[in-house]
Amino acid sequence: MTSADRSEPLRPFVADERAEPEQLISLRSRLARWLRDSGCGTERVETVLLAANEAISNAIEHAYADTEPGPVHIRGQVLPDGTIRIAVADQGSWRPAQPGGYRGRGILMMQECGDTVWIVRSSHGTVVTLTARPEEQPEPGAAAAAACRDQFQLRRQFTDGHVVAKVTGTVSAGCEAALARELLAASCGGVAPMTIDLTGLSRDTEHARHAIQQTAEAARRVGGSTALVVNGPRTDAWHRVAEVSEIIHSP
Amino acid sequence: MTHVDHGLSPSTASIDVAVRQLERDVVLVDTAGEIDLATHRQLETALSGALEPPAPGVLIADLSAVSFLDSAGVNALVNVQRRAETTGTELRIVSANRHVSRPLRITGMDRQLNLYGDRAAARE
Repeated sequence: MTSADRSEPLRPFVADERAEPEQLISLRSRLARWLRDSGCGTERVETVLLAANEAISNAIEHAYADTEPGPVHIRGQVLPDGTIRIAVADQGSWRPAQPGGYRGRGILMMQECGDTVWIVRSSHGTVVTLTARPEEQPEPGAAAAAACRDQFQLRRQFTDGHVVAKVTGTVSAGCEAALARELLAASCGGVAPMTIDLTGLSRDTEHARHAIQQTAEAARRVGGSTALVVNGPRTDAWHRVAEVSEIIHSP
Repeated sequence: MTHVDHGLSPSTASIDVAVRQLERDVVLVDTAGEIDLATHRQLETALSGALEPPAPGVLIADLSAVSFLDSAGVNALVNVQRRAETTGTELRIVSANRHVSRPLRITGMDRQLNLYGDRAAARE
């Protein structure tokens, strides 16, 4: 980047580097400047940087695991509605994380710090696309999360790279976000295939459905999949979720 | 997990790590800088080194001056925590600033690691 970029804030961010860990610190500082110029506040710059850093790290660490480091291409753009979009492309190949590994934590970091994450793999390489609104996003309160843990519980098990998450209790309107976050964490940011067992949920499932819808959509964008086990016969209640997730009706 | 040694280019990325024995049974590791894919091993090596026999009862990792922490850094802390459990050492992490507390919270590790608001609290 040259100094001219600062006087033209809407100019896209462009960086093409060798995929090496030593590039990260300077890429972050260049991206931070671009994000500030694009209207992001201090904390938003930090969270978007966390997300972008994980995307670039994935390319560095995994795209060229068995060869000489190849290139990583980073493009940042401000869309007409103000949304920030950052794409990170490599020319190698990497597979989704296994549950429990720290690559799963990296994808989770992208999911939690950006608004949407897309991962598209092809024979030419992998492209990770992040979008984020420039406004500051409220940090989830620890007290609220603790209160939600009193309402519903989530237990997860790993079986051959597959996650089974069992949700029990009640999900109120105030705990939709907390459930969505816990489900996303349970599936390593959505990349690990996950079955969500809802047979232990209280009768009113409206808010759980909203959270699951969000999670299933986020998982789809990164190439993951979800299946739900729900109580009772087929009803209209699960109609919308069925568009993004397999639904198994337990008798 | 495969790690590639990208040793070809000169590494400019580094963090400052200082190890001090505070009391007979308490070791402090002070860290400053940005912890990422390039520097996380430096942190893990310093903390693991402090667990060599005779391992202290308490190992304090003061991350107050850390200005960036990525998932590789979170992973380093989790690895050290596992090792500390085998040596009977209590790992205490000073993580008051949001550059450290945010990634720990996002990854859910804030519930698995012993976190302290400041160094004085970690020494008690």
